[in-house]
Amino acid sequence: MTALLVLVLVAPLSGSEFLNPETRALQDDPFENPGYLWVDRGAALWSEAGCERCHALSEVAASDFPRYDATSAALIDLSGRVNRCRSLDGAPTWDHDDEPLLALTAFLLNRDRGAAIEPVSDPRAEPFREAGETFYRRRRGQLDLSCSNCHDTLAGMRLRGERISQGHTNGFPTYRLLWGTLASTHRMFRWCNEAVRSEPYPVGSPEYVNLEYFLRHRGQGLLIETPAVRR
Amino acid sequence: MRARVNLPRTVRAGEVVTVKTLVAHPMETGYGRDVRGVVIPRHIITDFTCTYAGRQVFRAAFHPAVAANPFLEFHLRATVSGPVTFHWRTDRGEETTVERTIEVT
Amino acid sequence: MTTRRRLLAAAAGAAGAAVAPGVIGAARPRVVVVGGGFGGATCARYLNAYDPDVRVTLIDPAARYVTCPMSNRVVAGQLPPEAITFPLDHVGSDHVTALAVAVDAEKRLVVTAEGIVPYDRAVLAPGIELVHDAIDGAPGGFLHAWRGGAQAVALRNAIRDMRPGGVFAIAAPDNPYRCPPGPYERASLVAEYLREHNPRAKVLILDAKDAFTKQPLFEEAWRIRYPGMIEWLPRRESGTVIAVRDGVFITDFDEHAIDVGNLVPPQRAADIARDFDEGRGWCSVDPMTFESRVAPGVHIVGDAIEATPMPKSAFAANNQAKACAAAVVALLRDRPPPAPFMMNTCYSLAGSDYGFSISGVYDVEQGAIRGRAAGQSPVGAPPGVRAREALYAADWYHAITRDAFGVGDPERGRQVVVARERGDCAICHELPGLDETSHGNVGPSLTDVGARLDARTIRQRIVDPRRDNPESVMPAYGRSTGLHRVAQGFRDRSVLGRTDIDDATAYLMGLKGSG
Repeated sequence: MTALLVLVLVAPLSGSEFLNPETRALQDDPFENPGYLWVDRGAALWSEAGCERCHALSEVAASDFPRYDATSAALIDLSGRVNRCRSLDGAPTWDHDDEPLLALTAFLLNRDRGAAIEPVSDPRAEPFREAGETFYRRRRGQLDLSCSNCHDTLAGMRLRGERISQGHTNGFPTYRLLWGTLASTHRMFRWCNEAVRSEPYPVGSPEYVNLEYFLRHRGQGLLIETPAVRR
Repeated sequence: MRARVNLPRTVRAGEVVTVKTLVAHPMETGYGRDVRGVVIPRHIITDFTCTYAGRQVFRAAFHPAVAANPFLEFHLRATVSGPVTFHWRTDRGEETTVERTIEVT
Repeated sequence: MTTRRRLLAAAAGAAGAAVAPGVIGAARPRVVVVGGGFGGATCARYLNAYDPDVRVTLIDPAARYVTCPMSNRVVAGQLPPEAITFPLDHVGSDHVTALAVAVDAEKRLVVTAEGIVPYDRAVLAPGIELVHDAIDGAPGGFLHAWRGGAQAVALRNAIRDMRPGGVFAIAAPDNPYRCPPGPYERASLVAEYLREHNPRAKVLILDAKDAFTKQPLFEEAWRIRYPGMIEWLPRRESGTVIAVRDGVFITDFDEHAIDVGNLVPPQRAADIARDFDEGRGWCSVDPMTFESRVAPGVHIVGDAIEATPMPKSAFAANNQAKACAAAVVALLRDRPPPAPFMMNTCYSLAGSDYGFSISGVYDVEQGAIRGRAAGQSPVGAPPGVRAREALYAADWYHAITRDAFGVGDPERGRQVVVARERGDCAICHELPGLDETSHGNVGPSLTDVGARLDARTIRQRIVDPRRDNPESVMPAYGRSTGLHRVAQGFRDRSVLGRTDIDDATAYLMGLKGSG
């Protein structure tokens, strides 16, 4: 346990390090990994939705999100950025876990698979990172647990039969076996909040975007695994 | 009215003895009501006297505030052998008398 | 009185001789509860329940409490004394095993035989003292068996050993006294025993009253069940018992030869409350808070107070204790105390399968307790009704002793511990019979927890583990306050209820490891 705590401080560990071997193999094989169904769909959508008209794929930096957005003077995440384009086009926006948006974000982040998370340093985003960290460390819900209680203090130990991960976001959107579908970070946040019997926030809420931003700093250096497979 | 008294049969001359009396009586105040709400008429003992060898030695006037089954305790000095008579009377004229003899040695 | 004053002075000199364990936190007001009976134990438990941050210390010289309810069944040989004995360590408070001898209301200290215990508020639930000096020659070797404990067993043995055809006599006191129907229930159950084992024996009640509670119900039962066996001599027949001699109870007007005598003398508030009774024998309290009218910060509940029209019963003490706990918690937090709403039910057994009851509901109006509703079992009810009420009496006893003393049911507790929607303890802890894939290892194994920890500690760790260890990650299963953003549907209630925690504690106490 001491060794694990040291690791937490020195180098973050991806959630895939906590998987059982079968699940790990499923993630690593692009033909077996069900997440690639969404990646393929996203590639098609990139053209169908007309993204190409304005954006050159080679210039999209999906893993830089969430980032500071001068227009709203707040953070914007990748899903929010896609929806802004939809609004400008006069198209209806998508929820975080609508299939097309999951597909697009999975496709875009999958292009950075294997690259290390390097959050953009931006002083204007600093207050939001702090807000995200405060959220992360605050005990909440009837079970009175913070994100940090489980994913820092207890990471590596077992909850019932399952090892507790460090709670990084480098594999999202991720295919959750439990749900049988691809899922966004924000859906996972809601699930965790509900598990400690805390009132969840809406997907896309500023609280979750801030938390996501903080977590990318916390997971600095981890390699992007999108689409990962998790329990 | 059933009544009971308690005093020694024999005492030494000049001794102070304790006398206890108890009489069974409901002592209805006239303010109470029965289960149907009908006022129960007043019915109380109003008068108690004790005479010793022909002389009245204790008397009590009872009023509605006295509880049911009145109990009295008082003292008298035994001087001569003779009868001790206890007498209760109610506001309806009912009477009860108990008589005892005290022997002074 | 002088003795207590002297002790107070001695205690003031021995400053620092505090016996209470642990550390007092600034935001953790301390309430000291004196007496581990129905009033005290209930109050300690509900203080904890209403505000887990209040630090509760229970002072009682004994580690266990023997109840007066159902003690007549022990006297009549129907129950062993263990069936009415409860350990005080499931109450969940710190327990100082010492005799409390005085309260210094100005310095806010309780003086015990072992040292002093400071408090922010004190709750006295000391029960009664028996006043033998009203009866010449008392106690004279006669048992009262009116405070639970060893006397019930001694009286049972004396009745068992009584000569054939002997007279068992009960001297019943005038009102007010603890458990108004007690003498008549005792007469009934002893008659039931004698009918079987000593059929020519008699039961004689020498009563200092002319009437008693549930009288028509008792007299009906005596006619039906024990014809000719029980003689009740009210005060108007024989006066009251004024003296006792060997083999004789002497009333104002008669001498009664007896074989086994049970002398239940007049009563008053127990010694420690006497500084607050204004010489009246019973303590006067503000019924909104149960705070003494003469000693601010000292609350008094149960048999020691004047609470007419509530009787001196276990149930009344239990309800007063809850009202008092709510008031104490409110006053400690500068909130207005809630208005008490209380009830009482006294079940009586006129036979092991023959029960009846009287109930009352009470609130407070203009500083006085007021009866709002009342009811009583009907006279002339068929035997089935009496048999059912005897079962209700047993259930009532089970419920109120659980409520007061918190000794749970281990089998139910296993469900609470295991069920995913309830305790789900296996998510973090090892439990017996689960393999590695079915239990977590975040917390210590519970397979031997009953051998490692006592009941009080187990209970407190379930209720709020951070009271013992501020670094603990474990959720507080008995707390509903101080939480952030609790999901709708879980707000204002704790994960587990008090009863669940009692049961879980009882189950965990049984996990002793080995193999």
